[in-house]
Amino acid sequence: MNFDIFVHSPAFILGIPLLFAFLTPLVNRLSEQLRNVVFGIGLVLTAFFVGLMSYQVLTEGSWLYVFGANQPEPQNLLSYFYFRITFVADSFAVLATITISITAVAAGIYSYGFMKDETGLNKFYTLFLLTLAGVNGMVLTGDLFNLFVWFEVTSVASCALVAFRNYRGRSVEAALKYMVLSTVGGLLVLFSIGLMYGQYGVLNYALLTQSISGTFIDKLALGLLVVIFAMKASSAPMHMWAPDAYSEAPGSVTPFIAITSLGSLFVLFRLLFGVIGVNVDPSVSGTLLIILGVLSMIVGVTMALVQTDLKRLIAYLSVSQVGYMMMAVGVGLATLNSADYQNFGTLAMKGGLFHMINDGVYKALLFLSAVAVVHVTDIRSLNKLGGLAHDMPYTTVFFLIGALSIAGIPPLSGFSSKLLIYQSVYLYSPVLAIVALVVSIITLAVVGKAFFNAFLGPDQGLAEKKVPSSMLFGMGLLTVVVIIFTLFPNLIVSEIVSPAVKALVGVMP
Amino acid sequence: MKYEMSRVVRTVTDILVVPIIIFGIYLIIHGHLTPGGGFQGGAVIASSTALLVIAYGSFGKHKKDLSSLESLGLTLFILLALIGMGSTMFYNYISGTGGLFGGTLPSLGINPGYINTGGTITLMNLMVGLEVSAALSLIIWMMSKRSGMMEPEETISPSEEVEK
Repeated sequence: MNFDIFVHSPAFILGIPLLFAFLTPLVNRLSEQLRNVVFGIGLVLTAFFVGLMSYQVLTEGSWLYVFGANQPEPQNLLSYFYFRITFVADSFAVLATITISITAVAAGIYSYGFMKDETGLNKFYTLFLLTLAGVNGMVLTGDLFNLFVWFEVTSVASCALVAFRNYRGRSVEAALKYMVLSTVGGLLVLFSIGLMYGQYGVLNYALLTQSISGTFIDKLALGLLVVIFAMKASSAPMHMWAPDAYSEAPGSVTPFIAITSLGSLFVLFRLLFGVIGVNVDPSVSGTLLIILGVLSMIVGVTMALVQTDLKRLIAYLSVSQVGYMMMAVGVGLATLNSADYQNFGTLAMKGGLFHMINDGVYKALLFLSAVAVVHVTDIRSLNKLGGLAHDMPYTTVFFLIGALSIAGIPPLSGFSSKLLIYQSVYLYSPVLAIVALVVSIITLAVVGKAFFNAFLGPDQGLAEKKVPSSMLFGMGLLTVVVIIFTLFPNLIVSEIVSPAVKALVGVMP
Repeated sequence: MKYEMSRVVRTVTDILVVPIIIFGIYLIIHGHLTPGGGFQGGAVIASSTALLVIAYGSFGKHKKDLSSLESLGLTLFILLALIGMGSTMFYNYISGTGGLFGGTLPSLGINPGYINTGGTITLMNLMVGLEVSAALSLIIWMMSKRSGMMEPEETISPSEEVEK
């Protein structure tokens, strides 16, 4: 049997971070430099296998990876035991894993400089890689129970990351809030999985799609799953944990906690389109998504207006960005069975999914540059900051690019995805497009205030130290990606986003 | 000697620890045949640690070793899974090859349970048992240190440092 590394890449995407997560504490006993190297190798290898999987999916098409079988791709899924764990490697998983791994590599490199002075770093790196494995598993898995397992792995590891600086009472409080919500959420996910399994006796996505008939119990299970994954995706009105967790986590992992939210959103979309939603009644769940999305947009941005804490401000902005994606994909879902889907539904889906990959990157850039400000000044209040452009020119540029991108200023990448959303959502209901535009304008006001207060004005000598080079490198990496998205939006949409939309809406492989 | 319990308790503990550990190992080894497995067996082994901590009021100086043992168990578990990558991850490549773990599989139906047919499952159960026994022992150590059941250590945690 010849060994095809491309076909095996989904297993490596899962296995490599797990292996390196548990290697890190062992290597730490030998030397701390070696541990940092091992951590870096783990991150880069994971990203490398994500690249391999993307290449294979985009050239050869999608496939199912069956764990523990004697060959990775099943000839006939039904010939396998119903409870074999499968991974779905399709274009949607490619979009999700690319978003995750870009942020993970940047945040990992950023951590070297940022976390230098903390103790217990071997556990930090272990938790970081475990979260990476958890999120990757969550978006790749093709099995409901396996989804629950990765949901719990992600929750536990990211809660521990939020509480990492346990000498700060606020971190522990934020982590406790996050932990309680995630655990209750995990139990409800398990309950809804039980509801599905009790009725149909299968857990595999592909088999489940064929058997679901849309009974009352199916609707109950779908409702529970939507609420829990929307909660994990930090959508209003279940967003209250997000600002705490984002602002109290160690700075370098803040974008990574945000990525676990995006991962949950990816899972939500996959469940809604691929598994349960299409069999229940897409227009109802689509309308629900639109309502949640509009609510998140408005609540997030109005709360961001009144914040004076730099990190909390960006955390609320991220809540409002999640609203854009939910609204756009909700429009796609609501029109799925009508002729409108061909008219503007696909465009809305493209806009929503393109906004996800965009948002993952520029939000990470914005978070990391804000954290760099807090790192060198030790001040978080916007009222006390000022004149930092004199001391930290690079960070100023990075923050500006992230800020303009999140506000959707042309020609930056945020603009191209938001334009797709405005165009298509307007055809569904003009009110939604107006709300989206107004929220975008308020976003510009919010980031404008933050940028003006923190960076412009006379030099006040607030910077106590220089930004370490690894932190600059992490931010620079994200900036390069944002610029690539800015320069070639057509290419990204046609090569990555459109296949993802097709894979999401179409039948599973 | 404030944290130590009476001689009777200590002697009974010494006697009981051995069968507890053996029962734990039994649960781990038979994981693929009977109820139990790596996690349950590991938890049983860790309960012997709880007994020792209660009876003697100390834990020795093995915290770092236990921590490493935990990581070692998990690393070997993932490695065992990755070795199967010739077919797929988690493929049971030992099953049916003969030897200590790979006995030939019996035909379907009722049988008395053949211990040597687990393949990688037995090995993975062993690794999980290693991990769980070490991790739960560490948890017991943490909790008993805080609850005053054990001799307090000299080191001050960062949270207390900040309060000062």
